[in-house]
Amino acid sequence: MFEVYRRAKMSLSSAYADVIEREDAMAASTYQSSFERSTASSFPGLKRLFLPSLSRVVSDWSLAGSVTLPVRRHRLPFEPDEALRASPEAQEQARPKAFVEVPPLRESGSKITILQQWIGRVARVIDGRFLAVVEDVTNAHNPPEEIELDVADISESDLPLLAEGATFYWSIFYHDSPGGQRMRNSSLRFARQPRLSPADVHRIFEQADCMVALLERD
Amino acid sequence: MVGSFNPAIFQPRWLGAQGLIRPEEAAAAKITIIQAEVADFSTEWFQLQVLQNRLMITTGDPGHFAPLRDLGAGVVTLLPHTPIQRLGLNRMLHFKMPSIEEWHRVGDTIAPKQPWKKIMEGAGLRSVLIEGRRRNGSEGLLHIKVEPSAKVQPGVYVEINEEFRSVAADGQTEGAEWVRDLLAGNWDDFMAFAQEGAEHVRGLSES
Repeated sequence: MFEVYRRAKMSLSSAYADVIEREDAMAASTYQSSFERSTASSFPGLKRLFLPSLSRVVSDWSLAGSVTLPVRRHRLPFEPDEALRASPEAQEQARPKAFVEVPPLRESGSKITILQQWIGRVARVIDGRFLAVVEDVTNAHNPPEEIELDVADISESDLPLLAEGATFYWSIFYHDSPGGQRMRNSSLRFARQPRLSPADVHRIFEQADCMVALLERD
Repeated sequence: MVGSFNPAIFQPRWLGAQGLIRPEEAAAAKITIIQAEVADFSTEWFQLQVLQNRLMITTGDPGHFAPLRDLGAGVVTLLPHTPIQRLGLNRMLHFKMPSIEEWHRVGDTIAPKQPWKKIMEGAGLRSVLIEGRRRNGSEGLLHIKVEPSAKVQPGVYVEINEEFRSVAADGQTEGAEWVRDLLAGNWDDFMAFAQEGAEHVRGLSES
C-alpha cells in the first residue's frame, strides 16, 4: 500500500512540476482529473490526501484566466482578481449599498457657524447659579476650565436635568438668517438619555447594593 | 442604520415622552409623513427619516452633533432588540475655494485630465468615490466622495462616510446594542477624522 502511495506521490510531483514549467493551467486541470481517476480506484485514501492541495493549485491557475502566463503565478500568494472585485456589480454583491446616500437636508435657509464649543459637567448647583467644568471642543489642547453660569441660561424644559454630574453642550455661534442678518448666539443644551423604567432603577440599585456589600466586606 | 424598523412608532411625541428630545421640540416638529412604511419629520435641529429597512438622523447644525449622537444612542437603547446590521456615520462639508484655479487644481489632482484629452474635450471631475480604511485600525469601511459644491461657488463638496457592520455571523441578528457601544467609542474620532480628511482634500489645491 505504501508503495502505491509513494509512486502516486512521485507521479503527481512530476506531473505538477511539468505543469509549472510549462505554465499551463489547462494541463494542471487535466492532470488533476486523471490523477483523481487513477488514485480513486487504486487507493481511495490518496484522493483525500492529495486533492485538496492540488485543487488549490489548479484554482490559482484557473483564476489567472490564461493558458500561457507571462509570470510564474504559482509562486505568488493567492489573491482574488482585484479588478473584478472592484467592479460596481461585484461591489454591490459583496457589500450591498456600501455607500449609503444621505438625503439632502431640508434647508432652512439659515446658516450656523460655530465660534466656540464646550462640553461641560455640572459640579455644583448654588442659588440661581451652577458651577461646571468645561472642556473646549473647538481646541482640545486647551485645559479644562471651571466656570460659573446662570441657571437662567438654561431652557425651561432642560431645568429638570440640572443636577450634579449632568452633562451639557454649550456653543457660541453666528446665525446667518435667510434675510442676511448675522446674529451672535449662545446655545446650552443638556444631554438627554432615555428615561429609566422602574425595573431599570431597581436593577441599578441592586447592583449598587452588591457593590457596597463587596467593598464593606473585610 | 440599516436593519428592520417599525416606522410607525417613530413619532416626535414618542421621542419627547421618552425624554430624548424636549417636549416643546416634539410639539413643534414638522411632520412630513408617518405611516406603517415610512416616518419623516424634522425639528429645529434634526431630521429623522425611517423606512422599514433604514433609519437616518441628520443635522445641519454643527452645534448639535453631540446631541445627534445621543439621540441615535437613545433610540437604540430604547429598542435593544431591533436587528441592526449596519451603521453609517456621515459628515458632509462644503468648502469655498479662493479662486477658480485652485478649485480646478483639487479636481486635477484627484482625477488628472491628461488621460482623457485624447478622447474628449472639457473633461472635468463630477464625482469621485474612494474606498479604504482609516489608519487608526478602525473596523469601519471608509468612503470619501468628492464633487463640485452645489452650495458655494467655486467650492468643493466632501462627504465622508464610515460604515460599521454587526459582528453577528451571517444570517444571525445581533440586536441594536452594538450600535450604542460603537457610537460611544467611535463618534468623536470619526468627527475629528472627517474634518481632517475634508481639510486634506481642500488642501490638494496647494500640492
